[in-house]
Amino acid sequence: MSGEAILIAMMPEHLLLAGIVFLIVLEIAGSTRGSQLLSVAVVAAAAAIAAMLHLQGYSAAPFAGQFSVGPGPFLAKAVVLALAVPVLLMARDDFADDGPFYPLLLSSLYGFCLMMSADSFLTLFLGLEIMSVPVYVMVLLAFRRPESVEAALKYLVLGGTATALFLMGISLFYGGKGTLALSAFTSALSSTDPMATTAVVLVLVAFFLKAAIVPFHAWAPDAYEGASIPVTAFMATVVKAGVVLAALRLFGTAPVSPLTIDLLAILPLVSIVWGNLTAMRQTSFRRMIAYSSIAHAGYLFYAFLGAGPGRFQAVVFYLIAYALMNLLAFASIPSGKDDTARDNLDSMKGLFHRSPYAALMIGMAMLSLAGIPPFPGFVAKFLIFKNVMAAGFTLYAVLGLVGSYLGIYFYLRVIQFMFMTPAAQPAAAAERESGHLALSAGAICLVGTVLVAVFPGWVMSLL
Amino acid sequence: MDKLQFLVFVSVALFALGLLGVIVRRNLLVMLMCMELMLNGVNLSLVSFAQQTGTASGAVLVFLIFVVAAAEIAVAIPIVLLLVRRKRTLETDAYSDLKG
Repeated sequence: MSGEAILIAMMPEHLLLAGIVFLIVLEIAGSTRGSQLLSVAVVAAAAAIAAMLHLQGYSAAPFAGQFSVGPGPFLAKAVVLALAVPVLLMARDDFADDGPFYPLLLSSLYGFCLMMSADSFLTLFLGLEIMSVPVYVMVLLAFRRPESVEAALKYLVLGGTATALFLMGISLFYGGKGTLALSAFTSALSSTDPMATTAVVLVLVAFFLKAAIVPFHAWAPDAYEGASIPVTAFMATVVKAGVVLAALRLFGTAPVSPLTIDLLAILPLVSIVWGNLTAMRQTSFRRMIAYSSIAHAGYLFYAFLGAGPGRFQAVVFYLIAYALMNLLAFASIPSGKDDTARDNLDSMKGLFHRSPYAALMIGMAMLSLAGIPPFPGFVAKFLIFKNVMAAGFTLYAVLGLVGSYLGIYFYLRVIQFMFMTPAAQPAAAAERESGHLALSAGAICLVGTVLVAVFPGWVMSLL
Repeated sequence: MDKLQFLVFVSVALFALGLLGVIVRRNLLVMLMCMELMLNGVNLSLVSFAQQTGTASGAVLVFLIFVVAAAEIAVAIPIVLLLVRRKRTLETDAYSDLKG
């Protein structure tokens, strides 16, 4: 393959890599001023180039059998890289310009891009690990709080176990098929050979572990609570999107087989119900978001039940709506000195009277995450459940909808705290207005939300 | 029992032993060792399958697993050090500030 194809097809990756190297050089030189803006520029440029190549319909296979690009992968990369921009913007309070946060985040994104273009389990595995390992360290970076070390440990042990399960699945698949190509995986899906079946189950369980589906969710609430706010936002949006999109790449447009129906319908259903029920009794905002994200992972895997061709659109649209809402909420939380107090749901009481803008933003995010009609969360959920119904799983769709109504309670509870309850204690004094970078992160998410809410058809036609 | 079957059996046994260890053992270092054991079980099966199918990709994956396992441990050891410095114990039961 010619060098030119490698240069163009891997442009987003090359940009990220150059950014990582440059940031490390800055770190070594001891002048890290501007590293936040640099990483924002790099990620935004990579997203823009991916979007441009997607619109041109560029496709190539720079490393045949391992790495290929096409409109689909470029779209996934553009969406997720664009979602990482608000995360980087809101990192100012917690990380300022110093520290290894920015190179770590960029390498995690690099791993994501690699995964989206993977054609063999070799590349997919490498991408998954390059995406996950920096996140373990990013959780640890909030080490001023004692819990963060514990959170990082739990995340690492369960993440490592997921990796091992994934690899065992790959190995059995390789033993059965004699190849590591992803295209052969779809034939293993419907195979009755015990080795292939075990491989499929192990790979699926590994994805469930990484996406925090019940009963493999134990790490998520702790990791989300122990990490600092930008890292929690990153895990809830980019990492989750990465795992689900990778699973989507693996399954392609293959119809679900009887074996996978059981796994893909029952476990996500359980995690919708369990995530929503447990979120009700949380006192920490991040823990609540963690349980809500467990439920949302359930909806996302539900989409796999739908017919093959509509799957990609439904999943990507859902990811956009869900991630924008989460980022909007995280970017609007007023910054304060004490990270633990900032996280407590009680500190949100009476927020509307102190900073109406933040309260309105968080309120909108909560309504959309709950799936109340005018907001994008509703359209996204509608699309998924419509596909599931069309594929003939009416019972599962109804049960999933009932489960999703359980979630409305705790989303509305946040709104009740913000708008109808007076502030409990004078702790609000330590609160200060968010910096202009966090505000701009919120503004970007707001613009995106309005676009998705007002023109859902236009956004879908782009997908 | 032919050689391949035996090797795959050993590798699955290693993997299961590691998985069991991660789940039941409460000592941090033993848990990390069990994670490595799982990966080594995978390596053994990959090498045997590569030998059987006569393709190289499985053997290549083994080297990538080595690298990733090393990176994971390089992240894990500082975490363990930080925890031990704080709690003075390797038992995971002491690490329960978060509810799990």
